[in-house]
Amino acid sequence: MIKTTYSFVGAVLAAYTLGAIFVSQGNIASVVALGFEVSGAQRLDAAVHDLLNMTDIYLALVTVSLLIGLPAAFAVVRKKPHLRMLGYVLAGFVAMVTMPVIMKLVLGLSGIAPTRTIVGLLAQGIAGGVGGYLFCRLSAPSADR
Amino acid sequence: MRFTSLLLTLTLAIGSLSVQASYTLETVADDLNYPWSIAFLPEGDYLVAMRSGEVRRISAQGVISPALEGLPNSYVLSQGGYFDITLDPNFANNQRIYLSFAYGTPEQNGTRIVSGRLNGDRVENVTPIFTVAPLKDTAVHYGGKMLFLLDGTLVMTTGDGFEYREAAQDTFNLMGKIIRINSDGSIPADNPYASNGLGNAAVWSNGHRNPQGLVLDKATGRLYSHEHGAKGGDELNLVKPDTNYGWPAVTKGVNYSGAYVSPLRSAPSIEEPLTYWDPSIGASGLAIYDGDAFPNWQGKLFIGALVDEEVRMLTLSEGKVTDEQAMFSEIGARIRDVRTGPDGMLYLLTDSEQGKVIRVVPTSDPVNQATLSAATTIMQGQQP
Repeated sequence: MIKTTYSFVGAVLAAYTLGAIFVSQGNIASVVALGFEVSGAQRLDAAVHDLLNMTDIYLALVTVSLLIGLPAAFAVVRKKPHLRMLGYVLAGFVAMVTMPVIMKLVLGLSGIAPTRTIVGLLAQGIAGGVGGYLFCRLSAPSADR
Repeated sequence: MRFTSLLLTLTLAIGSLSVQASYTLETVADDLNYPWSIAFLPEGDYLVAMRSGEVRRISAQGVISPALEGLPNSYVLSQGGYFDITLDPNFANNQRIYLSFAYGTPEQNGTRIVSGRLNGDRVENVTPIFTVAPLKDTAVHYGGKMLFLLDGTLVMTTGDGFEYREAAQDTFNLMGKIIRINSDGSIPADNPYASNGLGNAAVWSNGHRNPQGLVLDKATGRLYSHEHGAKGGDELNLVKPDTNYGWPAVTKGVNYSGAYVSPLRSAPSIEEPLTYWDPSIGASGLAIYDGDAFPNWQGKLFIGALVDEEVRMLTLSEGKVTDEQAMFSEIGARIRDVRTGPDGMLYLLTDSEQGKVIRVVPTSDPVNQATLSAATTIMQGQQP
């Protein structure tokens, strides 16, 4: 149980970190597309800023998404152990893509601006997939690592 | 009745405690369904446009009419509904009024202006004169504030629709702009993009998010606007033609998620705001006080605050904001609009299903007190 918990925390932190950086760079991509210059230092500053300041809502959303996605994957993996890696990665991916889609359907608005584009939406899925991968590795029985 | 008695008691109590109280808040009308804007008719009546999609005429004595007939249906959802109402500068002769509102369907909606002739409790010959294009599929960020400039042209703010914030930088797109038209909807020949092909001919300024405050300083001809930021970044701007105010590429605020909308807080060719608020105050409604009832308020800007449930009074000096004070927080309501009335009083609209028109009058002026006896006194306060 302890192993599962820290594996989950690790997965959330990884998905949050990567997802926040994708949000940050997605927003900057929109600004650049409008014809404005953004320096490397400003990109880095934005990434650090967003990582530190998206903890209120976004971290909660990532946590809830993986809290639904990873146990769902566990239910499958328990019956199909050979699909362990694929199951957790896919679950993380789907969970993080579904979260902004549901927000858009419920609110009519995109709470996470870069997910207005397919690239931004898939980037969130990648962050979730990485979270799922980490959960798979960290929670694996010792012999499997 | 019990409520009125309570308030009158409160008035007396506060009045006895505060001998220096210099204004009184009077409820002109209440139980209004999300009042959004107010226009003052020459004979003393008021027209109040409500987000619920109706306009009501309120007599000087506070009697509220049924909804005016003849006006178009609105797309009433979320922030959509009726917005601003204003009189033609030549209203005394032509009785024309102008109404901005959310027009369309969930899939295709936008801000539209109609004009018609007011005849009692009916508006006749109602004609659309302008519609923001393209239409959008969100029910938020419409802008919708209007006023006539000294040259007789009509300006209106438009919002970015939330989902389409980049449109605010596209001069061919009418979202996130301040537009300028003639009173019949035609385009003035001296608009920035009227003939050069560099943008939509109606565009006056661009780079706005959701401006819901607009006022003309009649003494100087200067046009001021404020706009909602996201979690932060409400701005007060001096509006100039062919000027870019930055949104969403340059902003002082952050998004609701806490992330930057943009890391750029300033940039070449982007006009800086006169001031900004971070976190947002929910700026809505804007007035320059030019009445005689409160000499100390002459020339000051009054900004309604939806989030902070108060009014901000700003002092401008040489184009800069030199002082800001919070006022009327005792009302305890979201303030949707602020206006200076032709009687020299300040008028406030509160934003709720039981919204009110509140008149601010000086307590020290017995003449005013005598003429305002029909209204209900609710509270006295201290003039900053």
